[in-house]
Amino acid sequence: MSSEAYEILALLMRYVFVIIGLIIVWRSFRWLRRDARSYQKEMRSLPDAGLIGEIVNLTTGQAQPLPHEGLIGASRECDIRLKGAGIARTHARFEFEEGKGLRIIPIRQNRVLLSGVQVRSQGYALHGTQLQIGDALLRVRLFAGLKVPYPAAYPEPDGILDSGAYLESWTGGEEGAGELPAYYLPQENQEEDFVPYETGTVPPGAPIEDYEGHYTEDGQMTWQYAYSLDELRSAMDQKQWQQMQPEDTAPDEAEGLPYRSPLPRRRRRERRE
Amino acid sequence: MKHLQKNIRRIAILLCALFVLLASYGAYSISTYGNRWFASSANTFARAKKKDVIAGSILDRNGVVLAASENGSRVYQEDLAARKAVVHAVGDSMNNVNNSAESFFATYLYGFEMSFLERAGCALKGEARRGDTVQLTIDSRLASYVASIFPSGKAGAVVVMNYKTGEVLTEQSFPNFDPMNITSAVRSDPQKPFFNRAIQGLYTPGSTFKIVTAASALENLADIESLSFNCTGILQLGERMITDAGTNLAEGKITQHGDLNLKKAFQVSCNNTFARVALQLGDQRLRKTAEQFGFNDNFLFRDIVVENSSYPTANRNEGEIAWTGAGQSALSVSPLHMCMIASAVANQGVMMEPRMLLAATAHTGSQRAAFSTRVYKTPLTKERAAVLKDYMRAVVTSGTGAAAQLSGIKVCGKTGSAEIDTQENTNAWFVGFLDEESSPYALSIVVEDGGGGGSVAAPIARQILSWLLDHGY
Amino acid sequence: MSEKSLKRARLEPGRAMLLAVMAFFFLGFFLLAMKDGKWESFALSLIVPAIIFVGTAGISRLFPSDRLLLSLTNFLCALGVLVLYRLSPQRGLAQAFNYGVGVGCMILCTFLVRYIAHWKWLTGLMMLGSMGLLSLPLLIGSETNGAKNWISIAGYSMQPSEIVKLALLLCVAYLLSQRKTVWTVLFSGACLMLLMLQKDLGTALLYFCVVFVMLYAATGSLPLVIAGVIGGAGAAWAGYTLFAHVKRRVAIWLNPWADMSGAGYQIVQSLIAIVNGSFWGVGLGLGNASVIPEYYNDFIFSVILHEFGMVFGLIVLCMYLFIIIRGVMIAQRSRTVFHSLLAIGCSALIALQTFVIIGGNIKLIPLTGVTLPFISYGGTSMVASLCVIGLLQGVASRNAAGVTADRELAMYGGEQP
Repeated sequence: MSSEAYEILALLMRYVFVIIGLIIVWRSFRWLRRDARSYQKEMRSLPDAGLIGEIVNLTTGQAQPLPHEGLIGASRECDIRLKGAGIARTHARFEFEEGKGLRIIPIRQNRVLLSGVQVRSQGYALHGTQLQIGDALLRVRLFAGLKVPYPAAYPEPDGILDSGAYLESWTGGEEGAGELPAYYLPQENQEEDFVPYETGTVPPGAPIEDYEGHYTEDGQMTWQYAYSLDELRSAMDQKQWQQMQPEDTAPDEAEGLPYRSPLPRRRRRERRE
Repeated sequence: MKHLQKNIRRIAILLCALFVLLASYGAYSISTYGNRWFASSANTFARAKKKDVIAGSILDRNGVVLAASENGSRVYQEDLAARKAVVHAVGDSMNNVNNSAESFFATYLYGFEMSFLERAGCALKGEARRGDTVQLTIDSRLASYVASIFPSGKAGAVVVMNYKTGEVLTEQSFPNFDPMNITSAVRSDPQKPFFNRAIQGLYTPGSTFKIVTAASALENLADIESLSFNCTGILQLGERMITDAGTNLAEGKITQHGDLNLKKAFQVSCNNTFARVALQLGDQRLRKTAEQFGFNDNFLFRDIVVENSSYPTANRNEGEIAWTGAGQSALSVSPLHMCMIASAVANQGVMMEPRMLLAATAHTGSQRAAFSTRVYKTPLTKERAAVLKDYMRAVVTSGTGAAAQLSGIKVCGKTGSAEIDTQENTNAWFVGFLDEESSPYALSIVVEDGGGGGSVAAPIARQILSWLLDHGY
Repeated sequence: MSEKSLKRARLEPGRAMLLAVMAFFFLGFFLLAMKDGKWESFALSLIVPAIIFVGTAGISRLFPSDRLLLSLTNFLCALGVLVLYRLSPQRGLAQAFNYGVGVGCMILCTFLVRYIAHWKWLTGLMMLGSMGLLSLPLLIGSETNGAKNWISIAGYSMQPSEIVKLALLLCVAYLLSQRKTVWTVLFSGACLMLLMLQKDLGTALLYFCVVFVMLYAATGSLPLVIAGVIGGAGAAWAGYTLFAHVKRRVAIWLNPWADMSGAGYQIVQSLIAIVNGSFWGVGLGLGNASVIPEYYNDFIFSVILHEFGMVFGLIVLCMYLFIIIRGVMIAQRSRTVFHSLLAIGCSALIALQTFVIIGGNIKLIPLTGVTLPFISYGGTSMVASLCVIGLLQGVASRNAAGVTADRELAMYGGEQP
């Protein structure tokens, strides 16, 4: 190829290269944006995403979601935030270890008790294990389906289950069966920024009939954490069900496609408005 | 996990900011300094272009061809004296002179401004590509004349510009050299002929800086014009001693001016008085005025590269401040900038941006670029400019610059004799202008190691100005 | 919606982008082939898109991976091959080989992060190993450009600091996830000392900044930030006063034009090459950027600006930015502290390295001998950069697995068959 012809070609190709580059950049930008949006949407549709259970405060009845890893303490940055005497700003660290349970590691000789036994360097909590952080009495509840050993039958220390609201609401007594445990209900005089858990997904008054099945014969808890959608739907009337649905989900998008053109969605929203 | 999320978001913002910084700094520096980098004599890319592009010609303002391409090589004017006179403005084919037209306008000369279609058209027609023709504001005849009257063997610089438009009629540096025959003697000359003193030489301004001191005094000291000073010849300030030209303590000679006011002091160029004025002003106010005149500024003119002038900031004791008022100390200024300062006085306080490029024309005849006139700074008000003009007129009528006088023509000016420690004689300075509506020209002259400004530089100024008037400027 | 259309909807944006990337390099190499008419060029115009295809679509078949990250990375790597091949075919071919090896190592790293759950012993091992590797150049190294940071084993020369970079990321992420701040500081301090002894200050600066960023992410404490800034400034000052070549570099940075044919030659030529390229570049194959010393390594971005123009340079910068934003997104979505820190460390490493070298090219900061990730010539550098992306991919695939698990949990209430 003659050098003149090549020169013209190369000069022309400069623009082609820039155009292809722009296409790639534009597509990546859209990809990033759309991915961020679809991820957010997915997270909204999965209220338990990234969680492995919850930690229930046995004295107040409040429950806080439990991520895979995080901190327990009084500071705002902690994943499990507790208030009370003897609780440091960052009191302990926890991480979930598959096949072993929830590893609790006290920070700087802070006082942590697992089922009444003080933890020196680390200890594993399983489903139902009782945890004492400073003065706060907690119970670890893990989702079913996680790979964790069944808890050995820890003897409950005397007197603990007799105290607090937890016991009453949990067992409900013979006559109280059918009521929701107290930690599902909105608490009174609760601090504003201290939202324990998304309680909205389980409407108060939803019937829970089969409590008996949640304890095995040897006293282990097998309580199923989440309600299936069908269960909920059948339990609620149509109006309640509609209120529960996230607002910007159009019915045909409920399947949650991660990548689709944002254009039609925008149009739909306009039409709705 | 919760604490991580927040920190990660902050880190992400920081990392993105780094990239924004990269892009914006790149855009800023390329848009501000890009053409300077391009014009650098180290630009081998432009030089490599010479193989495939026939470089455009360089013309002077009257259309005289200063440089042209013939059979693949660069040729300059035939007359030796003429081509030597403009060599610093035009440059040479080897780019020995920094920021000359040959390198600074390479983007036009070597066809970098051609669009893709033009280039493709050339290639399709099988023609060689031709660069654009560049017309400078230089007058080659004036340059030759100036070269003929400049004291031979001396180094120095001459700048003549139109103070209303900023067009530079000539910017010359001496000694010069022949661009078509660069000998090893030229290369090893200790006077550095390749160095363009007019725009890159930084000189101590000497008494010519008194224009700035006077401007500052008029601005900041209310009754300065009515004040009377008493010049005793010697002003002792700490270890520094302010003396006047002609004083030689070893021989017991002391120049004394006696009682005088500011105008008279300007006229006779009394260091003593200006030292006191500078002390009264103080460093802050004097520097502020100097900066209004363009000192300590980064000159980024569109088509001419001028070395930055500096007003000293370190070591400011009383003696230094006093000497600064008289134009000594660590002040440095290029002849072109000094010419601009005179222009500001001449042009009612408005300093125009200096210009070298009249037009760049494509070989097809269409105009590629032409810059409009632009105001660089307005350091003076009309009234103060008029007062200063009056002072400068007095210098020529009955002061140190009498040698620049032309009968019937209003010539204004200021002489200077800057003392340099390493030299036997002072640097001779003259800056001035024609106060004529039809011939708005300012000039500045430096003769290194020349002697007194009034005796050496002022006569050159008179000859140049009379040449200008004779040749219809 | 049927299974098939669902699948297509998921593949669609990635496929279009992959096609654009492949087309770019097919055209690029084909253009060069038109110039020289060599069979290698024609072969590369097919081979490079093929590597890109394998490196993007192929990998995402293996495990759930981030195809955006893969596409952008592959684009940059292939761009390096293209530019190098245009300037010196021999280096270009070597770089194509490095690229292939790098993709392999990237997959390895991804698997490492994806399947290794226990890092404790591995971290200890890596810490010892990296100390050993970093002291090797001091014992048997060779000196280039004032720094003694290369070793050659059996004819292959390599830069241990590039490999140690990966170990540093993993170790620091693990140590910080265990809240072992003291160990972190000790380990990274030891690494920095060894690098200072090698006089490899560019890499030391990079290590310092990355560790600092990770430390901040893990603790978020203000005193730490202040201490880090003071420490960094102190170290910079110490480096400036102790090492002559640092002083020289700073002087060049302040005014390269003072000695444009001597010390400042590199940076001056780089700047001139950039302005010669102007907006649209001089055209691929038409420039003569090889006058810049080290054009294939430190100044490759200037070469890109010269031949492809500033607009394209901005596009390349955007790609780096998107890679980093993607890395940050991966870090935010991660479920565990270790993986989150690892991902933010990887993104910070790429970002800072890019900033340091491009900033040096355009005279924003003094030039340091750091390579431009993915693009610069050099086997170790290429492999290390791709491994960093591999680590990010590993975290991304763990995130994807986590979301899948969540989805199953939500669907079956944990009573999954």
